[in-house]
Amino acid sequence: MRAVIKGAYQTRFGELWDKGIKELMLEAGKGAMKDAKIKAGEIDLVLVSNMLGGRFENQGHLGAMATSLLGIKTGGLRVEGACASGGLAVNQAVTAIKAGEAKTVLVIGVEKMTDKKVEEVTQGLMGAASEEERRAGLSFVGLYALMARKYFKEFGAEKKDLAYVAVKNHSHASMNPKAQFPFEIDVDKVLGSFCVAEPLGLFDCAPITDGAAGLVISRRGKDKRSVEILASKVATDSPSLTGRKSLLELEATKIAGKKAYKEAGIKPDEVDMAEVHDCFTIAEILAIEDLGWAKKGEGFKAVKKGEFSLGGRLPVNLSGGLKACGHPVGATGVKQMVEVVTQLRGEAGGRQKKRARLGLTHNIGGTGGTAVVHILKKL
Amino acid sequence: MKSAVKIWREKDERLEQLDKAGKVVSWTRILEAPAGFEGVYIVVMVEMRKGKRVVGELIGGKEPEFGARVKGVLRRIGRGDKAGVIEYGVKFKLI
Repeated sequence: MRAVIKGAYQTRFGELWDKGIKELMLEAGKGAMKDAKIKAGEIDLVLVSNMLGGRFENQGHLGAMATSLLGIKTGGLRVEGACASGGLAVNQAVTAIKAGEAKTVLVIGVEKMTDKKVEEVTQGLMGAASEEERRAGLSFVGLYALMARKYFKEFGAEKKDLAYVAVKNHSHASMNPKAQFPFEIDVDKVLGSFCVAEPLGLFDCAPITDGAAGLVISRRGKDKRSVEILASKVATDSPSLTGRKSLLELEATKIAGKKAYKEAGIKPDEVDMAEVHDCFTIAEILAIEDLGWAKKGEGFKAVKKGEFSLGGRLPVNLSGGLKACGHPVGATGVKQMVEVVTQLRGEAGGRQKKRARLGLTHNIGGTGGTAVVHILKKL
Repeated sequence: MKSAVKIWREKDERLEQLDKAGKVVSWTRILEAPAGFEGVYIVVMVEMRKGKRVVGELIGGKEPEFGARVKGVLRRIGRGDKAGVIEYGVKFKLI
């Protein structure tokens, strides 16, 4: 039995001062149910993916909070895996459906981040790392900066090479009305932005974002707007960057990717479009290589050539990615799937990839402690 | 928030690299510090003798190079917190 996505919805991403975590969950849940044309009584389980609600909003118990808002009594719970919470929640929805315990699952990814000061968000996100890394005064930008510096040394890349990732993702976001930054930028803008952790500047980083996304996943659904989940795979690694074999790859991405390609019965180059975890520009380059679309050390050249832009051989992050669509951490993995569903349905407007049949999502927690890869197919 | 008990419990791990030498694998200069830290500082990833990798602040303000040799020294960590606990741990200096 395979699971099918029947409904998909994304709230606007950005600094949403008029919306709290409850309003965001309600909008995403209702939106996904409306898109699927189902009622609250048909939902067997609600999974809420969220990382920081307990810390920032002092609100735990999000499963019951979401179900009560939506008038659902059949059970709900929160799934947490740092920035991979969304991907993990979808994976658990698929598992519940395959196990026969649920026919229809509502997944809501949500994060409310912009009420807090930047240094508090930076500190909060470091909860996804290790005590040793926190004690060193590292931030997530700093951790990815350690990887970027090593990549530069090994493969002769430079700051300018990373800038093309941000330029590409902003260009895609300029065609996405739900994006936090729906405007284009150029390489000089990226290189001129202030430095956060050398060698990464502000425009190498995904922003701090409020937002939510919802999916209705079911065992049935043969209408032409439904999208099939061909593979849902998770891999884990040391949450600390010090515990990795290499700074030049995310082994969890490679493992989850290989398992997903095998289960879907496809080769990497058969993917038509993908949403990958570009929390920092260097992260997208590593993902492109680790998912088998470019040789190790060659990814940055292929990005520069436009191979992963709209119109290229495999458009990556047509939503604008985490960089320009925004990164409400618990919602990101769900939003990535909403974008792929929109593309496979042919409803993406100006940023539509033509003849998209197979799509992939890649969601990372921390610096690669968790990786979730999904492969979706148009019915 | 740091508790004195937590810091005591972590003491073996926390002081493991004290006075030990290793080589710089990568580094970054942090310009936007997380809450609990302040100013601009360099953090290094260091490979110790048996291949174990650790991270810590590099004191002295000078940029290292790949493979530069460093040694663990005892220093105050962060700027302290509301509980008034002054935290100590290992930072690195170039040798």
